[in-house]
Amino acid sequence: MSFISAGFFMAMALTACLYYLIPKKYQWELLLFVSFGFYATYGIRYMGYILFTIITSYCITRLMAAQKEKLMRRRWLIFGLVSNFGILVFLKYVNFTILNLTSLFSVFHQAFPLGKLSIVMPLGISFYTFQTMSYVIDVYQKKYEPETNIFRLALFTAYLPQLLQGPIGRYDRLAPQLFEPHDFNLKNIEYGAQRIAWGLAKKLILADRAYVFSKAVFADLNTYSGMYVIVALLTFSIYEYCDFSGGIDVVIGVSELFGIRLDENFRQPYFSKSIGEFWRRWHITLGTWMKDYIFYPFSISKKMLAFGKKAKKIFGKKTGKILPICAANLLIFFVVGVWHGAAWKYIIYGLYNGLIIAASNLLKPYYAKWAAVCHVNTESRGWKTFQIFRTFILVNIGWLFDACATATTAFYAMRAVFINFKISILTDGSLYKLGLVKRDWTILIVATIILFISSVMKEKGMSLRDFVAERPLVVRWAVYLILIFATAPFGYVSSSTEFMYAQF
Amino acid sequence: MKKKKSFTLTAVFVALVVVLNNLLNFMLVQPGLTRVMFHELETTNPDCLVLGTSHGSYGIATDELESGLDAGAMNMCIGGEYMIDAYYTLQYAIKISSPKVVVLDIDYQYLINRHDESILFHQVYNGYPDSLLKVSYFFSRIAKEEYRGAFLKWTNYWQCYYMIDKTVAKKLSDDYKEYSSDVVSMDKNDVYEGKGFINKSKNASKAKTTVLGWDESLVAQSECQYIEKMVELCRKNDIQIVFTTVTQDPRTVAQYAEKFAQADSYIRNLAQKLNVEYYNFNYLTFEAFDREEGDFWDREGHMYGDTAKRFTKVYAEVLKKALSGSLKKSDYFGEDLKEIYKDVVPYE
Repeated sequence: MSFISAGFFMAMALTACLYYLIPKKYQWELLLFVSFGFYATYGIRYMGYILFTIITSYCITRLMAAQKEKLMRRRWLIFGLVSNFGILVFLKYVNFTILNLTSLFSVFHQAFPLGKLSIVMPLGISFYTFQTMSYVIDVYQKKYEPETNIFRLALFTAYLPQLLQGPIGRYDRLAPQLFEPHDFNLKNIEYGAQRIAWGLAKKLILADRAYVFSKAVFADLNTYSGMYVIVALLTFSIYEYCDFSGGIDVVIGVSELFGIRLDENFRQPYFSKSIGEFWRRWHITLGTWMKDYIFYPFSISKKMLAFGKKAKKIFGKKTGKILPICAANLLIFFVVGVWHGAAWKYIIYGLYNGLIIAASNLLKPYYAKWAAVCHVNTESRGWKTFQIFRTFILVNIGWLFDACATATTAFYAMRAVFINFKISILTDGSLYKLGLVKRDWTILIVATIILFISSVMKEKGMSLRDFVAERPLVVRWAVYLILIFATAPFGYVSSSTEFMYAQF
Repeated sequence: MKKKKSFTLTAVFVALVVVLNNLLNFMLVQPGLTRVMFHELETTNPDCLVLGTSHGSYGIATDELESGLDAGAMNMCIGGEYMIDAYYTLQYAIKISSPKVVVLDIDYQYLINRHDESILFHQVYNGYPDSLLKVSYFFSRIAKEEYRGAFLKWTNYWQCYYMIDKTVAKKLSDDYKEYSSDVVSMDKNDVYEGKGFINKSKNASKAKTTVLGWDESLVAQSECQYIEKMVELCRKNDIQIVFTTVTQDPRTVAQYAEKFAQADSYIRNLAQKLNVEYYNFNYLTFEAFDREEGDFWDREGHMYGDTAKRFTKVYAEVLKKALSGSLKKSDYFGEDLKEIYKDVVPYE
């Protein structure tokens, strides 16, 4: 059952009613029951994986807590991480590995003995594995005591709204909210419904519509090149952001109905002034996870410290200090690439981002010098706009690896931008021949402008939600009704309405 | 006190959304044929029930079928009817009548594809009479679909805003209350002849819509499961069931002969597994039923009314003989599509 199915909304409405009607001490149990019930609708056979994660995490954290010897604690931690990430990596990468080994063997005219395995990924496995492993690592680091009730840990792992596409929650922030009693609060309901409607509008009005055009162009780059690729890339950019953030809006909104605030996952990412900043604004919970559990431990590991010392000797103090950070960045973006999917294109995508960030770090001192030489006021609005524009282009180049079927196609698309470049396609009606008619383009442009304005307001610290919530009841309700009903006349109708990140 | 006020406000708002939405549904959603067909099903108590898709609704002329079978019939073929819809239609038919024969007309495209335009069109569900079965139907099918199709039914009809007055007048009329097909907005070239048959006049020019190529890897197992369920249901109720596929545009069949043959083989195997007879009328010889591209109003192979009437005579003849066990297949059917269509020029 997907996040935009009738059943999901009916189940959530019913759960919200029950949640506030039953005695408060049973609220979290109701959420646990609903979460597992929902997960079971995808198929009982997937339950084994999530139960394994819950049981191993529970046992390991309890054993670690009982163990005084650091080495033993460390062994349990390693066992937990290897077994859980092992399943994730196996499920995600076994066929990718077989495929590549088969190709490699064929170079030597040999047949690889294993064929492609029939594997169906359990839903949300990437998200719940990352979330639960952060809990295991935190317990190992004695940030907090382990959970003694396995059912509570089960709810933390499988909490329905965030189970399928994040945000990746942290135990110390999420668990207290899950288990504390919640009173009925009109503001929670209002804000939750508001956020759900906003997310659905982003998904159905913008993302699904934008995807039609980009999909058509990237599927046939021999026919469509030049300006078509640029427009397709822009529509893909809209799709990528609105689909993912729209889904997260629905997730956060549903959770707000229960009075539980999930971590934000986006903060106007397209207003970033560098790729580094972009990753602090896009899929924030994955970024912070990588930072806390890979970047820092890796940066301060003995080997990296030794490497830093050596680098300082060879390259001087400044560069030597930056080099270990660059290496850590490359590592986490390699992992980000691997996390995104079992394909070379994702690995290249990750490394592309890692390399840009590493290069930016290395060149930072030179940028400052150049800016001084060229008399550029780096605090001026013009310079900041330029930085935003530059970052947007770099981000879009990266999206090519996601939009195209393979890495080779992505490189071909980069070249195709310069082939047969005609600006006239913007006005001569050519754009109407690839699935979107004039009305669709009008809706797409107007809705993007509305989204842009709301993002600017947010960026300036103005909360559109609070602004609406402070209006008189009639105005508020009118706004909500428009939002709720907007997807009917303005939403795009397509058969593939699943959220992109629901497959991870 | 504050909590009570919050509860009341929430309830009022939810009620407002429901009322407004129902009002929009009432004012914008056009009366459909399915509602009329279900009413006819309730009042006719047919011996033979035909289930299927638009190929059946345009291709099986119920009057001809009745006279050919010498029995009462009802054509419940509906465009966009997937197997789950056919299953619930059959359940309802069994509940309110006692059919002796069920003919399931299978369009292979429905086994491998979800039509974009049908994602929000739940024709069968929307016309389904209110009953406990409808509740079960909702949870089995509609609950899993996108919320707009289930709740905001006017999504598909918002362009009809300029005729709200006419829609409302229609829905308040006696004709509507009496399930007359006169209130149903149909294509100007379509005439509803009753009992599920839509007669398309030859004034309609040929559309280029063509079929999807068969691809076994795309088969939705849920479709096959519901076929199986229908067979079980029929057996349980002592109803004879046969599978058919109505004839399509010969030039399309010639064009995709290989794909059609693969689809035929898949459905034939399924039928064999379920111990059900399958008659694919694309295998009809041209001696048994002469046809040409001009007999079909699109390349996908939907028939014009007069072709449908001509075809149904052969269809009924085959069914009657098949049901009585006296059918000699070679009198009607060929073995090899390429051989049957050897003189037909395929579409390019």
